[in-house]
Amino acid sequence: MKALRIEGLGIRHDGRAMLRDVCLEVAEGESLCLIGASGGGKSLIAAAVAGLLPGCMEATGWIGLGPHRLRAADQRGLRALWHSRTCLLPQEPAQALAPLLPALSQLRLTPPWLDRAGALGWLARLGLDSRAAARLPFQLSGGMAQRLLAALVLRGQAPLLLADEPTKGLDPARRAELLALFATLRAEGRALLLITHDLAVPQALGGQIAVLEEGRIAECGPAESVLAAPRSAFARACVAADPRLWPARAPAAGGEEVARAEALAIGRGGRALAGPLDFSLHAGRMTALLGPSGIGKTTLGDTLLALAPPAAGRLCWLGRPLDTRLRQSLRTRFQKLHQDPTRVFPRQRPLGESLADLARLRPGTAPALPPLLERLGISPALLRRPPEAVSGGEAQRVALARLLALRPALLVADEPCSRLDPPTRRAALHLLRGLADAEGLGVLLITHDAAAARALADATLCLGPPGGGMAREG
Amino acid sequence: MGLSLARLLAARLAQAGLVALVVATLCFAALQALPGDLALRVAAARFGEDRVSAAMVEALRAEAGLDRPVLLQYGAWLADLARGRFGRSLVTGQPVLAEVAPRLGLTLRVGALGLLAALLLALPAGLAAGRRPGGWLDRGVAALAALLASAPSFALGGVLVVLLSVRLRWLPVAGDATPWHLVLPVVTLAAALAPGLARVARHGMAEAHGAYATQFARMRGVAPWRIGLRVVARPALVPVVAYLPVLAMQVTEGFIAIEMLFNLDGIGQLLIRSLMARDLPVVAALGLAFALLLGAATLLAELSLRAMDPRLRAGGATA
Repeated sequence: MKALRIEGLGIRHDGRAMLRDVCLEVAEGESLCLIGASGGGKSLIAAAVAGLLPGCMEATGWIGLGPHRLRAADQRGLRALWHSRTCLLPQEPAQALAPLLPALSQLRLTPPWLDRAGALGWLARLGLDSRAAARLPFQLSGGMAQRLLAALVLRGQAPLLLADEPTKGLDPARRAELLALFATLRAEGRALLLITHDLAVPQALGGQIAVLEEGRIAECGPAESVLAAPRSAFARACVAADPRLWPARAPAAGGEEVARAEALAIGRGGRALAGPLDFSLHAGRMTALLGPSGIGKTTLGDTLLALAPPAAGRLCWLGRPLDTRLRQSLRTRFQKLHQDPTRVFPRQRPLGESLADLARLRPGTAPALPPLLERLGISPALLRRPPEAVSGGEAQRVALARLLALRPALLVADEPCSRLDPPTRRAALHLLRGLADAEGLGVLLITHDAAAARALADATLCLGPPGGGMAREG
Repeated sequence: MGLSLARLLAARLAQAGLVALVVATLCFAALQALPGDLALRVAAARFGEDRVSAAMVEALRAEAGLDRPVLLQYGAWLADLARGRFGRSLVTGQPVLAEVAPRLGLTLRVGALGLLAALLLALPAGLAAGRRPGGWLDRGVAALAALLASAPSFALGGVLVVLLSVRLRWLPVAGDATPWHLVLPVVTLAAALAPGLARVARHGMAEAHGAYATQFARMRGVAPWRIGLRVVARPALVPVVAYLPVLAMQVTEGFIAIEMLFNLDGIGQLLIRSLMARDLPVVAALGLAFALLLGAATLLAELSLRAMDPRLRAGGATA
């Protein structure tokens, strides 16, 4: 019996077809990875199966879940099958765990009833000891929260598990942990539908793969054969965008020094994270910052931008020691490109209006904008839309245009591409690289993608745990 | 970096002391700065407007030390306050504490009952509304809250008196002779407090109920009543507790109008009377009492919040 059978699913929004005639099947003990362009509607498939389609969307077609067969439009009926047939794995553990309930209580909340010792046993199976069991979610590390989530899902009975971008923002070690967990779930007879733009997921898990292109399933088959010989345009572009295939380049010579750390130690909330660190960033060079999740990469970036105070040591901007005066006068030239570009713009306000605000911040930037927008491939029509109505890649370029109009000396890009599909990611990273070369921009690229860092960066910093190798340059 | 409990208490006590000093100074300065002769106003209140003579005013001025330089008066008065001496009312000659204490009891009773009634009224309504944002209940509660919030206490209280006391003769008009006398003041006060409280409870509930954690618990098959109790309740009530000091402030503002309207002899009326008569010792003592009550409410809310949400203890925002 198939755990999931999607027959002729179509989704329309505002009279426009988002999905057309999608047919997919997943048997128990099997996995299906669905890949597609960012903003191409692949998340809608998972939402439709889970009964979480927004009310403004019209669905047609049928969804079969084990012995049940429902109209896709019957979203309420699909929600009634939560727990017994379906479970949607959350993207962010931080949001999925009840914020004020200890780990053990969260587990015991899930039926059927479990005594304390039994619950501790469950957590121990996933590597959470009794100390961790007593903690609240915010006291758990990212990896522990992920494992707690896994325990919660494992306790559930649903034969079909849906996951939307499960590996987003994970470092390689935690991604491997999660993929191992998926393999375990599959081996226990669960069916998995994974929506992802991370080709490492089907590469590691195998199983089936389906490619969504312009609202249709363009290609479907065993992961090995599709990845080896992709037929659809998107799959070919994804395979070609693998950073391991990017041509190597000679390191840039680099210009003047834009920022220097001298015995710099970083900390957050009074807790020392890393240090002392000694390194410098130069104009026209791209430096990659690698390291496991939670090690303090974002904090180091914020410290370099004077958005967070250093725990110890000294920081220089453009060769001068940083003080309040210097920070104020150079503030607009030290900028950050955020992880989620759709959230750096005020909601429901056309992007063009947010860009126009720049002229007030720094007079004289307005004339520089049109050529900049043209170079970044931003059409005027895009600027009339609010941030929630553009794709992640588009928002990323508008955010970049806003930063570049301020003529920055240093740009800290904090995992700028973790939400973009592989072809868009390649375009965005090469754009950053091109800006470093053409504009003499100093770029610090915070990333988990070691292959991309190797291909594009002139230098690499690896942030390790305190006491170990702090940072090495290579 | 989280504050330890001891450091929090020490910091709040120091703040309370500072606030008390500022309030006392402001009371003193305000009464001095008001136009007109202070001694004349006090004498008029003590002996009656018609019977005051210049000799009586001068005698009172000498007796109360109002002829000394202002800074000297301020210093002597602060020194007395620091030793816990509030002095005597310039008008009645009674010790200030004897004037304030019995009236404070009445005011606190009305205030506490009003707060309780507002909680009983607004909390269930707000929480129920927040379960379905945009639903008919949510819109109804929002409309009712907007209506109540835009009706000032004196107007609403007046309408209630005309309707329930004068027309229907169900309840007494004014005074505090029996518990029945307190019904209308309590209802009027609760009506002033309820709208804000209902909105805060509604937002807290909407956020907690709409959170992904709630949906994920439903997806795991957790029973709805367990979700309500274990997953939703605490996060939903955190903003309500944080709002309590604001309510306490509304209570202090509210009972001044309410005591005038229903002729309750509480500290609201006493404050108005003392202000008219420039009775500095009484005004200052009342100012201090308000400041300390509000400080206590804030501290209580803060301690409750730390117990409810340990994230606040750890220093608040986590990424």
